[in-house]
Formats: sequence, C-alpha cells, structure tokens
Amino acid sequence: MPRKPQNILYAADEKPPVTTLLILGVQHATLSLLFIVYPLVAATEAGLSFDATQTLITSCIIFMGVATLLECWPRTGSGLLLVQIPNMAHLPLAMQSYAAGGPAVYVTMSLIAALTQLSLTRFMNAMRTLFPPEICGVAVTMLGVALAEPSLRRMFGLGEEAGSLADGRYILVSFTALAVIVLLAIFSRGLLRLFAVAIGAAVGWFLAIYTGVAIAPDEATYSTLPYIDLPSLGWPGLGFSWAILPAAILTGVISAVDMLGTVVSMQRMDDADWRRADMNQAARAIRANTVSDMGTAVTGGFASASSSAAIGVAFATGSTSWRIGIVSGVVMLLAAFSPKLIASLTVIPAPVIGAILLYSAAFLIVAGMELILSRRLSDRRIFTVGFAVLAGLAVAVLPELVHQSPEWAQPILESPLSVSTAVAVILNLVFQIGIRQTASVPVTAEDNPFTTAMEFLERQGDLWGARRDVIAAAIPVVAEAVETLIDTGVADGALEMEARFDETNFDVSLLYTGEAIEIPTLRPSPEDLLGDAKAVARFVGYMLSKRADKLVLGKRGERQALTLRFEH
Amino acid sequence: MQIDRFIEQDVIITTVKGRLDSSSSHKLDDFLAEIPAGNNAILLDFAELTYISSAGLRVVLKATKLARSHGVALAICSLVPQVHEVFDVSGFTTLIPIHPDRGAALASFA
Repeated sequence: MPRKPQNILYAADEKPPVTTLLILGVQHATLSLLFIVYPLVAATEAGLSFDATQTLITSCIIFMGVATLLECWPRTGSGLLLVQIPNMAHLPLAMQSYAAGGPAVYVTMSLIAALTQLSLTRFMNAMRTLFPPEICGVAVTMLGVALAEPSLRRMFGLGEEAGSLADGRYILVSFTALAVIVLLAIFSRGLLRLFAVAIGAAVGWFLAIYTGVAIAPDEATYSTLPYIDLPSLGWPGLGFSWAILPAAILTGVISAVDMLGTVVSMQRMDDADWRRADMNQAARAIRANTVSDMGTAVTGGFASASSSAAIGVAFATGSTSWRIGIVSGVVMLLAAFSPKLIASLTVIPAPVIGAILLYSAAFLIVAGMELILSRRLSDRRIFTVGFAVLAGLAVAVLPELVHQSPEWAQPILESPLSVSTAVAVILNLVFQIGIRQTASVPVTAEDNPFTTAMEFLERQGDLWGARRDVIAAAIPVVAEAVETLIDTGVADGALEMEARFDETNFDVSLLYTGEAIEIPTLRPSPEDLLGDAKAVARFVGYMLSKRADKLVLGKRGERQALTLRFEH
Repeated sequence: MQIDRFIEQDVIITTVKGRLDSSSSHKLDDFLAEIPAGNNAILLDFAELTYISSAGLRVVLKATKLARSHGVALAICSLVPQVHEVFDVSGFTTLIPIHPDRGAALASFA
C-alpha cells in the first residue's frame, strides 16, 4: 500500500467520516456540474433546439455520474478519486460534427473517439515506453498551462475578442475567491480545509452578486423548468463524415492523454514514494471512461473525462479517497433529475470558476515539474522536455500559427497539452537512437573506485533517465565492491564495470578474473576487517548483500560476475 | 579528504571532511595512531564525511581498540544517513557509541 504523504488527510483507500464524505462528494459534484457550460457552448454554437440541448446536457450529466462511479470504484476502475467533467477536447469535435450533419454525426464521431481511447489501453507496454515519468510530467504541466488561458480570461473579465479590457469587478471577485481558497488550504485545519474550495466559491459568488457580476438565469425559461423531472435521453441515429474522422481519432488520443495526466497526478498526490506511472491503473480508468462515453454517445450526450480541476480540490482539501468519488457520482446522477438545479448552476459567476481553475492550474504545473525532475536528465532529455513545453506554449501564445494549419488538424494543434505531449513522445523516441541499455568501463588499480563509479553511473543514469535516489544509492555500494575486489587482490588487477537498465531494475555487474567472493548469511565479526584479504572480502560481501536489493554471483565466460541489483 | 583535530572540554575532537576510502584512510590512521596524554576521551565528528568504505571502517575499528587499550573512551557523532547505514549494516553501531550531534556526544563524556 502506498505511503500517505503528510499533507493528505484521507488517502485513496481510507474512509472519511460519513458527514465529511457526503459534503466532500457534493463539493466535487457541484464543481463538475459547473462545467456543463462546455456542452452548452457547443449547443449554442450549433443552434440546437431546446429539446436537443436538454438531451445533450442531461445525458452528459448522467454519464458523468456513471463514469465517476466506474472509475473510482476499485472493482471497475482505478480506485482513485477521479471526478468527471464534460470533456473540453470534445468541444471542437461536437461543433464540427453538428455543422457537418447534426447530432447523428456527433454520435458516430463520439463512438470512434471512445473506441480510439479504448484501443490505446490494449498497448500498455508501449504506453510505458512512450510515457516515461518526464513525459508524463510534460503532460501534467501542460494540463495546468492549458487551464491558464480560460482561467485568467474569466478572472480578469476579458472577452474573446482582441483588445477587450479587464473588468475591475471580476478581478476583485476572482482574487478574493482565490485568496480564500489558498489561505484556507494552507493555514486552516479540519472542516475549514476540507471545504476550502466551496467556501472560496461561496465568498466569490456573494461578492459577485454584490458587485453586479453575477448573472441571473433567464427568468422566462427558468420559471418553466421543473424542480424534479425524469431525464430526457434520445437516440439521434448514426451519421458519418469522412472529413471529421481524423478529428474524431485525434480527440480519442487527446482524451486518453488527458486521462493519463489526471490519473498520474492522483497517483503522485497519493503516494509519498511514487516511482512511476501505474499504467494498468490508468488503463482501468480509461476503459471505464470509454464505456460511459459510448453510453453518452448513443443517448445524444456530450462526452466527459476526469477533471483536472478536481485534482486541485483534492489537493486543497487533502482528501483523495475514492469513496468521495462514489458520492459525487451518485449526486451527479440525482442532479440529472432536477432541470432547475442544473439551470441554476450554469450561472455561477465566471470569475469564481476562473479562481478555481487557476488554483488547479498552479498545482498541476508544479506537480508536472516534480515528475520531470524525479529522473536524472541528460542533454537529450533536457531538450525533449524543453522543446515539448515550448511547442505547447507556441500554440498557446501564437494561435495564428494554428489557424494556418489544415482544418482537420486544428483541434489537436490548438491544444497545448496535445502539442506538447506529441512533441515530447516523438523527441523521446528519436533521442533513444544510439542509446544502448548496457554500457561498461574498465577499472584498474590506478583508478579511484568512488570517482570511477560516480562518473560512470551518473552518466548512464542521465542517458537512461534513471531515478536520482537509485543512482545515489548505487554509487557507494558499487565503489565499495570495486575497492574491495581490487585492494584485496580478489580481482586480478583490473575489472570491468557493466551497468544495465530496464526501468524496473538498475544492475551493475563487476566482471573480473579471480575467485568468487564468499557471501555469508550471518554478519561476520567486525574484527574480520583486521584479518586477511579473504576475511575482509567476506565481511564486505555480507555488507554488499545487505546494501544492494539483490546480489548475484555468477560467471561470464572465464570471468567472475558479481552483480548488484538496485530496484528502480 | 580533510582532517582537523582540536580539543574541547578535555575531549579530542577529530573532524573528517570528504570521503574515507582506501586512498585516504591511511591519513586518518596516522592521526589516530597515538593517544595524546592528558585527555579522557576521543570524539570522531563525521558530520562532513560523505562516504566510508571498509578501509575507513578498519581505521575506525583500530582506533577504537587502541583507545580502549589506553582506557580512553571513543565515540562517533553526526553521521549523515548514507554513512549511518554503513555503520548499521556493519554492526559498528553496537561496538561504538554513536551520537546524533556533537553536543550529545560531549554530554555523554561528562
């Protein structure tokens, strides 16, 4: 079981008290429902009828709830706190599909996107190669960067058109809400910390009403909506457009990467000793997501994905229990039965949403940087990460570049997350060329064992992207082994130091001509250190067997092979 | 490797900075080969010792035996975690008093 970090109150497998569980679940569900604005934008842009819009929204909410339940429950999903929101990556796909042939085309394209996502989970070994920790780190960082534009636009009250001016009231509301969330998350304890985001949002909402930023729902429509009603779902039929097919496949890939980013963020947040992404856990979450995406597709809804904003809430509240997600999923399902509730949530003031998004963005950016720096970085890896981040920033700050690309490619190119991750994956694969997984250096009696081991292992660690702590632990153990073999004369004057890396193990073999050393199972007396060479070698053999994760004695041809394994 | 020696509260304190391996351990061996008269304890302050090999352990063991043969107490203090691990695994922690810092070590001699 992972070791719980100090800042986490309720870890993934822990049970918060029932009241806390309920209120945290409602908090997450409420935040998720606020993002119903995305399918609303798609419906408005496409000019959907009131009934079609109702179907789009209701189906989306129901399957957000279903997906949250499936993803959080350990038997069907990941056992992590993953709360769904409408999938922003589907916005361009929905708008293009509606323009090409209406809701029926969007059904087919959503199914294709879901199948694309699903098919990626069949290649988890390849995913491991494609997404080492520093590449996951780029994806997580860019998840945060991608939130910057929509959050800052809302916080400053800037319109979509160029040259629009900031609104002081928005700034007051958003920064007050942000300050409340941050202060409560950092300085408070108990209930105040658990509800930091809800309290900050409430303070912001009241301030928005006071300053006139809050928008009242359209009274004519709002008054006709029932408090409780059966959800309306539909079967829009199937339509197809070859022109939109590439966008559908790309949307599936983007969604999988997005899901991977949120899963890795939660894994990292929940485990003080996190080493690498658990791809099987990620695959279970993605599969659960695709099942619900197919459900929402055939019932005329808008696809969802796990929320990066919810990660910020989990961090602020110190609660990552999957049971919170179960409550959230149920609350979302219940909310689908209340059209009036949904309508009232869609008018949450924009600067309040902006503040919550910015808080999440700040967390994700730093979490991604931590992932990137968890490994040793060679020049190749530095450029892989650097160029990938810059590529994402390029499309974020120079949207005119995207507008000059082919129309089918624009959905992927306008996403900093997609561009950065794609560049990182490609450069990572290109820069693997010429790197062997085994390397060796000769060591003679004239060499200093520690300096030789340090220079060789650090160089290889950089090239292979090994964990810093593993290399740091291996150096003194290998140096001790080399020193003993040469100084005691067990090795005939010189030896070969060979390192091998395969992501789960870092092995260092010392190949020499001479006798094998003895590895006692019980600790010899320290007095042996004052004895003859054989006694010293036996004492050191015992120490090596305890300090390495595994010590193997064998033969390679005519030479002895002393292999020290360090788990990675 | 850098070795310094001074006296505080009648305790001979030897500090070692850097790595203690087969190429450098003879220097410490020379330092510890004699027990100066008039002092009742020896303290090895390893706060800045970053690495110790079996050759270094051998020197520490020799110094301990020499001190005991002269009726002088010897202790070690301020081990960094990676060096502390070597003392633990080798069993030296049961042979030689090890203190978390210099203050605690000096207090133990009082």
